[in-house]
Amino acid sequence: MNMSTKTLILGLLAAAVTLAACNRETRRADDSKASAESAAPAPVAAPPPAAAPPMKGSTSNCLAPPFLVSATPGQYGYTVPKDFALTRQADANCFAWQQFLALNWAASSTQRGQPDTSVPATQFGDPNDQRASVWETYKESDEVFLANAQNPGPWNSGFGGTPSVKVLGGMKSEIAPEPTLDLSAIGQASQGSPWLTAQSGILTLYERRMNEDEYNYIVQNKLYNADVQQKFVVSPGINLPDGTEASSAYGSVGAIETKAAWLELPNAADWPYYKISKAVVTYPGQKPKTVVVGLVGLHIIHKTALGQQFIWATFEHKRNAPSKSAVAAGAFTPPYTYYNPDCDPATDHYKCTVNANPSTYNGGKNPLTAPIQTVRVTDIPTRPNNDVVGLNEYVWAQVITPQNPDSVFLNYELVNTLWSNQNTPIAAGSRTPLPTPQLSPGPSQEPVANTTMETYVQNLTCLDCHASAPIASVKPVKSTTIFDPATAGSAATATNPYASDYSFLLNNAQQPKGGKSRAHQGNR
Amino acid sequence: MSSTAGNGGGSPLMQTTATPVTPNYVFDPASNSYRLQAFTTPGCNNDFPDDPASYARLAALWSQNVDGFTRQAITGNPWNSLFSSAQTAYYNPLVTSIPKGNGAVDVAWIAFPNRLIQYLGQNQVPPNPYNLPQSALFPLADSGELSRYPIPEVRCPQPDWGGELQPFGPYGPRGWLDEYCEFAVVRNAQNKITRIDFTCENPEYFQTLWRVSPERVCAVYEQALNSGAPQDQWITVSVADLQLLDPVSGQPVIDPETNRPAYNPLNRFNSGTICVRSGTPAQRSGGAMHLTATPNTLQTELGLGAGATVQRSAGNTDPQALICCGQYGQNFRNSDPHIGQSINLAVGAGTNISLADPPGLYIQMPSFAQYALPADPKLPPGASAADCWHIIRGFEHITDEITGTRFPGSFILHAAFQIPQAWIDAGVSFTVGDITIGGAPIEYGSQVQATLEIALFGRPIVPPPQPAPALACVTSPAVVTEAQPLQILFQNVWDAYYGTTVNTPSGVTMSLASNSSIIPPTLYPGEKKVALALTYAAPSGEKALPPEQWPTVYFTDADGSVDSSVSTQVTGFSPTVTYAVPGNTYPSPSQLLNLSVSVAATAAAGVRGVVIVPAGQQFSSALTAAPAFLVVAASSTAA
Repeated sequence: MNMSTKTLILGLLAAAVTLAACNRETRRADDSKASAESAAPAPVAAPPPAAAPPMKGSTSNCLAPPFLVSATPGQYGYTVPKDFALTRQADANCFAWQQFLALNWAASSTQRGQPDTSVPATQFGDPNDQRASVWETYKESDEVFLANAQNPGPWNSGFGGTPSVKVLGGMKSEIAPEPTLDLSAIGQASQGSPWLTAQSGILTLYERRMNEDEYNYIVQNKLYNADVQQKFVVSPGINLPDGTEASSAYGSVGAIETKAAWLELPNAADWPYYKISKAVVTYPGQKPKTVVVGLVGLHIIHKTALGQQFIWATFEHKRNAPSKSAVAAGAFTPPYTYYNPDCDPATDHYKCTVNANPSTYNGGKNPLTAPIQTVRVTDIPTRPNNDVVGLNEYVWAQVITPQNPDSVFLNYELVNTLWSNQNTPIAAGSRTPLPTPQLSPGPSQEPVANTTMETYVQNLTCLDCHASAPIASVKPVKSTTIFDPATAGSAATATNPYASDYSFLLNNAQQPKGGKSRAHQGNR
Repeated sequence: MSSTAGNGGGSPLMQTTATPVTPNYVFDPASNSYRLQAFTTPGCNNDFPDDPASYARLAALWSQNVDGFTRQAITGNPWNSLFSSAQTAYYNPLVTSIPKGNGAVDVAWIAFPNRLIQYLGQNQVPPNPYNLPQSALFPLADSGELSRYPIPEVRCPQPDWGGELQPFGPYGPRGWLDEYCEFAVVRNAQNKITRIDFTCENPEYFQTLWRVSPERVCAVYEQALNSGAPQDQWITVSVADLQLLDPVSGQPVIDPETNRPAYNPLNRFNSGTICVRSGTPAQRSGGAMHLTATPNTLQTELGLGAGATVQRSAGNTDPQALICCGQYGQNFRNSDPHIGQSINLAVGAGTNISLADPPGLYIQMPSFAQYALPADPKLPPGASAADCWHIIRGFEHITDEITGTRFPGSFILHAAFQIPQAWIDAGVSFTVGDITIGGAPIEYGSQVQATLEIALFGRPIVPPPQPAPALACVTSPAVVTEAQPLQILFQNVWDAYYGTTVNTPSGVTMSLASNSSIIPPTLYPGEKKVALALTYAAPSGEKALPPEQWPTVYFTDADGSVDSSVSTQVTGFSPTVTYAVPGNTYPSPSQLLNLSVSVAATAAAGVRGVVIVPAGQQFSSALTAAPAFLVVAASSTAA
């Protein structure tokens, strides 16, 4: 598709949206940011449907149900929520979805990490829209932790252009003439850094980003320098901002990190069903190339006043893979991106072994192009106290569809949300593993895992590994050690590395010149 | 999952398919709001499906009791504590209307006792000296053999492991199971688990049901504990099995209110975690029918709910700091700090709150995500571990009358995990002990307990009448001058409870009085010189007092004035009675007054409060009456 054709289609879409939504103009008229962002047609939201659709799904009465356009005039879904309303699973799930809606709003073209508030809810997830969403303009890990511990500069440095130009985030977007993502990581965050190959034979690619609050904390405290981390972790202690008054110097939202899984989509017919971006991808042994990638998985973690252990939410594309129970019951509806219902053990490299780990299967000698027969090990919960399926249905039917029935985000689902019910601030000088008290869901309940990012360790939960996230090492280390979380706080941890407040990003910091430069540590 | 009505037999409870009782709301179109007319029995369960008149009597008594709990909760403690009284952000749904559409929220927590993890387990802040892996905590959670594991006496704001230690509590045959979920395990001759009964039912309900019909309590026991079990393991339950015995004479203790035996909450079929279902009927024992850990009461739960509504000037985001500040429960439970913080946040967000009707504690559907069945070819197609979950009392779903939609959680009162009969009929031979959770065979009931949650349901309403200012942490006044009423019972019932010693797995003996309930005795108009026992916290503490320094006691009307139709004489005083006042975790010393109470023949029916006036002081309206300490009977509520 050439640029002129894209422009025409977008123009038609914009006109259609405007026509459809004109009776809601007054609801946005008081939004000063909207007028500042764009001279385009006045931002508006969709009118209420002529006939109310049947109530579908459930929020389990969470106190802050997700929305794109609030019933409260002047409130829109692009505002990132600061915390969950109640320390309750249903509210954690609603919080997770509201974050997803806010972070996937089209990004500002001038201010990194901010939404384009002129974009109406009716354009939320427009098919074939390659504009960056808010989280895509967060700082990528490699933009923060530079060689020789260089200061990465102001948050907004190197960002933006003319408002009409789409911005796709990522380090290469800052230096390349055409903004693009740089997706070069293929290893998952588990032992052996195994890769995930789709049924198309294409590798899944990962990227990790942080928001402005976390960035400010790192830059203001010079934590991009591994040497500084060694002292800072002892006093005053690494304590990422939580959006409260005490951390207001860094922002008011709290630290957010994202990890995304992307898959190249060579078939343009797939694009209307995915959040897509243009990317420069570099597969092992190949030259970089510019492709269109689709979002298949997204972790969002957020440190809040009530979430000192972070609130961990994970989303996936609905067509990724069926669940193990659905496969057993024969109750699934292909096609799937990562699962072949007609897999033939005689011809499949992995003999159709479910979730075969390529770093260990066959001694780890496996072609990158061999598809992994992926299934979701744990069903997305439906039990009354954690009705994630019900909430997904609610968001699709009652939040997204009324605004944009063609939204690509109708194809994404919350898998689960993990949080600690014993909100425990981390003391200075804490060593790995950090405590993970009173998790919800509990350790004997549903593990929280994403089939595209924890394909081979779906029996674990986020904090099983993140409790062992260390600060950057100034000694050579081959990999990050994941300690038994049960040893947290015990004498056995006395010589363990200092903890980085559950973030695996901080250990990417380098030493300044004079110190030894080293590669990034293994676990992400 | 299966809902099991019962296994046959002659009981009317076993012959019916349970249907939930509909809560009694009246809708006011003018205000577009609902007013609850009476509190509904727990879980909307009806233990008299065949006897509407008896259910009506039970329902009236139950509502009267819960109304009393609610008013006690709102009153808080104005007598010997600062910043914990007049907790009006907790509303009484019998007097406050609920706007139409106001949904309820579940507050749920893992049923496995977190204090075991905190004080004995790994991964804790601060670390404890025991550092036991979870695999070692499961057997302890089943046995309660905790005498080797003392814990700090000082637990707020943080456990002080460097200070004095005390035995792990709560004490009692299941005392350590203090998350409002208790269980009992049936094993076969190979010591493999064949069934686990879980209950979250509050003891006050069974005391109330007993007052209406001891025989029906027996039927409820049989229905629950036999449901789905092989017939050769059934038990028969008689009134004699459940009645309270005088510890001296060994004879049944007659409740003056009913002229029938009083109830023993720690009876043969509701004590401990071990069930015996083999041998002769007389040899069979054990079962989990209602909660027995001393803090596991509904009255306490409402008190916690009201106490947590108070906004504090510090610590609101930290559930442990908040509970230490508000002193409404035990820190490091999964339940109390979480309940407290959730309620506190809801009120802080600008609402008032109350437990949604029917008030209670409810078992939630387990997460079966990590369960795995043995590969038995005789398993029916589609069989899953969830099929072993039998809801025996209560309901998986109830429709909320206020919203017309399901409550966001379950109202299960009693459930059993056992192999379904259909599997046995199909030839399946494995037992519960062969099923795995997270790869480990089920060797302990607490492994299953760790996969389920207990919940209560709150109903926040907006707008609140008046947001209250944040208060400082609860503390004691420099000088205590008022007496705090704690509990009242018929004297002979108190004597039997207090005189009965219970041995516990923790090695600490306790008084059965710790397992009594805070339910006011009912007197009839015209009764004279009825002996009652009133425990209280005297401002003079454990100091012995001569008769001239004994306090005076007044029963009061709803407006706080003295009810002259009830006359009271203090006939005795004990400076120290040591027991866990129902709802408390640990025993502590209280004082006891022996009362002689007469009720005028013309006395109006209704519930009375009580005021204890220390010697040298006069009754005045400035003294706060403790609500619901005596009932003057009317025909409609008298058992």
